[in-house]
Amino acid sequence: MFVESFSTRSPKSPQSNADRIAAASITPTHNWAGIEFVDSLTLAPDDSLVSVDENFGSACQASLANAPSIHLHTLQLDAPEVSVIPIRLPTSALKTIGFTFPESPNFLVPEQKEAALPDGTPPANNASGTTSAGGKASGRTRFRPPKDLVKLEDRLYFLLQPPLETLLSSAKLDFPFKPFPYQYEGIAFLFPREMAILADEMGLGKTMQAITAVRMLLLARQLRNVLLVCPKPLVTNWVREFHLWAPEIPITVVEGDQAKRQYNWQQTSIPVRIANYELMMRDRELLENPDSHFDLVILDEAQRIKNRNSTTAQIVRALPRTRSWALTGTPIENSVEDLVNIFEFLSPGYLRDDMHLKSIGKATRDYILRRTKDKVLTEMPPKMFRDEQLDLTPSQIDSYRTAEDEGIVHLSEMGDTLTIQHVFELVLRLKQICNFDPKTGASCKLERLEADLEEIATSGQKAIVFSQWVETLEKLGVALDRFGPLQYHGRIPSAKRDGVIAQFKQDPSKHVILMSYGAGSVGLNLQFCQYVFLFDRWWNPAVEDQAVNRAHRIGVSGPVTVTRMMAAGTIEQRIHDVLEQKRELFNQLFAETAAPRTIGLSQDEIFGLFNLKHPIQHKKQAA
Amino acid sequence: MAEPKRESAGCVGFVTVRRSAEHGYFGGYLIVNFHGRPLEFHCTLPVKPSRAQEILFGRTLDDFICGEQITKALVSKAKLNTNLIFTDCMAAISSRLVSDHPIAMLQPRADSSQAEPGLAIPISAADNLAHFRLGDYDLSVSSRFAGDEAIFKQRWHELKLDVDLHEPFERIAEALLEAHPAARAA
Repeated sequence: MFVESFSTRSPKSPQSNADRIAAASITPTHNWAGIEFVDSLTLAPDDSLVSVDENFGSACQASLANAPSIHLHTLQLDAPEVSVIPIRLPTSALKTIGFTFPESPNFLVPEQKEAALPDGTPPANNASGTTSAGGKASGRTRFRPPKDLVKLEDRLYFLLQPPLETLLSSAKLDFPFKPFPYQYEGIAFLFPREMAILADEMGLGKTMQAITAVRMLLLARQLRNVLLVCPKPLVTNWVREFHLWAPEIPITVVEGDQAKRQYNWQQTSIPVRIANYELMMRDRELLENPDSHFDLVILDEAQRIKNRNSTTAQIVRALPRTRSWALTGTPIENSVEDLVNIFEFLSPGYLRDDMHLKSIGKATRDYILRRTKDKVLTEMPPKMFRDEQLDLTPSQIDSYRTAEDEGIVHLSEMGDTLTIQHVFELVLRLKQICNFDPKTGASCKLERLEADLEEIATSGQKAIVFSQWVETLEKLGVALDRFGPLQYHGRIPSAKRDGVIAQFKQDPSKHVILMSYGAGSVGLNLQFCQYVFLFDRWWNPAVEDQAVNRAHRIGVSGPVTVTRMMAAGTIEQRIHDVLEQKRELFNQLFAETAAPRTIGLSQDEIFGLFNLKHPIQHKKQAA
Repeated sequence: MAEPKRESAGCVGFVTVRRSAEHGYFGGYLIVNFHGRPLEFHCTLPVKPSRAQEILFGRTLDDFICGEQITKALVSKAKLNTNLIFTDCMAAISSRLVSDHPIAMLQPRADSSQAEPGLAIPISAADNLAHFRLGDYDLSVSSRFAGDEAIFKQRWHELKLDVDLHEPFERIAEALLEAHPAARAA
């Protein structure tokens, strides 16, 4: 309440209104924002306020004598207004993506009958010492989808599979031996791939890895019809390995006369067929049947198709198939062309001859798995190389010098008609002299070999001797008679070869086996031998490695000593230097390092063994 | 209307959430059979909380995003009804507040490494957990659902699982990186 107005005056008093109000009785009550509000004001009875218009006389003057009238009003003060700002929290459903996978079979191996091996050996899976993958799986080998698998759902299918060890454990698959961790990795590598090269060094168990991957794919019902192609001498080995590692899988060997082979090819109830390369050529017409389709074709020793234009390569490339796997310890024997040609089987046109080595390495990385023993079998006994540089006997020196001098003169005189074949002939003649003197039969290498074998036989050990010539092996057989030598080469019929190996293994009087590189360098397990002699050197280090790895493989009980014999100061020494360069090439490609200095053995280098020049190039340069 | 879920004998669910500083949260849900083989997989697109959510949920943001949002969405998308759901992400347990599916957090092994490079397992502000042991595993459930522990114990003995409970989370993490390559680069 506050005094709103004053509308009265008293003519009796000369005081100003302000003085009068000050003299009045005021009841102050509120003070707000510096303004004082009063509830009432009482003037003295004889007093009155002077009108503000005192100096302006009017007709209303008389009314000023009335008592003042005070009007009080009540005003409502509004509360401050509050604004509300709503904040919306997103409530929309989250976006998800989902995949369902088929209810996979449980990989359970069907009940099987006791099946005897062809040679009467009982199946190994039930033999004492077998290892079941059952029980708690310890390893964590994961499947990785291949890079060429594009669809996310397909990639996730492999990524979301349990570790391989868990799968094998739940399937209760039996193994004769517990696989090594790197072997699990090899199986996991093959399993999801439609094209793959398993290029492990010899002796690491490519066979077992391939068989187990096939076994799992068959149990997962992703395969029904598998063809395995291998060199003829290895067919029995594959049969044995299948019985050992996957005894429940029925297999058939394509063999016999044409009618039988035709029956073998047309059989659909057997999931795995084993055929040899030589036979593929004979059955070419049968294989061209458009109805024959293989879910998987495996090429063992796939370097057999390194020549793109060979009939064998053409036939296997034409096989209608879904998956293509190649097994080889030597994807490159001479040059990267070997690898390019193996890829022609896997995926025609994927690699080109003119691709840079680094590009090839990059393009093939996802398709090739290669491990070496020194990397994965760190606990395996070592392989020790001993390069024996032997001096030729006097009669050998005479023969060698005569042959070399005459040969070089002869080659030089040939002029433009000189071919690389002529050079090879001279090389071979000189190498044979390094083995045995053609006139006297003297041999510095034989002398050394006999001395070494004396020691080996005395200690009850066994040795393998490799040569590229059967004639050399036969001469050695006569000279080493007291060590009970056995022969294993092209002149020994295939049917008898398994018996030779068995005798060598079991007969304690047989201390040495004489093998040709061609027959003995692949597919044999001779890990009970701790000594290997390379009586002469092969052109290709990969073939030599294969030969050595007959003995230095899983299961070897002690270090393997490899003696590489060469006649000092001869063509053998020069070839050795070239071989070392080729070994370097191989290492460089698979180590993914810089491009090699040289690739393979060029024609110039071969001519250069005798300081000769390539006649055609020489002519061009002269022009 | 949601499709009725299929019943599959002895299947188990594993759900996890990973957080990338750059891309947000990734959730994955894997259903396996009793041998550990995959039957179903679902994952979310990256979930990035708004600034308002960060402010309003404060330290309970992970529980909200991982549990009430991601886990709930993933489990509801599945076509198969699982007997049990395990998680390695504590924040996912809060899904129990908005879902009927019992969920248990698997305590990490002493020797386990934390998540993948660039990805973290979100933490939880929840302190209302009940701990118990199942076979070789230490588990935790929300203590607000006292019956969950008994449910887990009963179904565990019925299922007789042949899987390592920690292992499927590695698969999910890899699958998340496969489905979201950007997270791998992060």
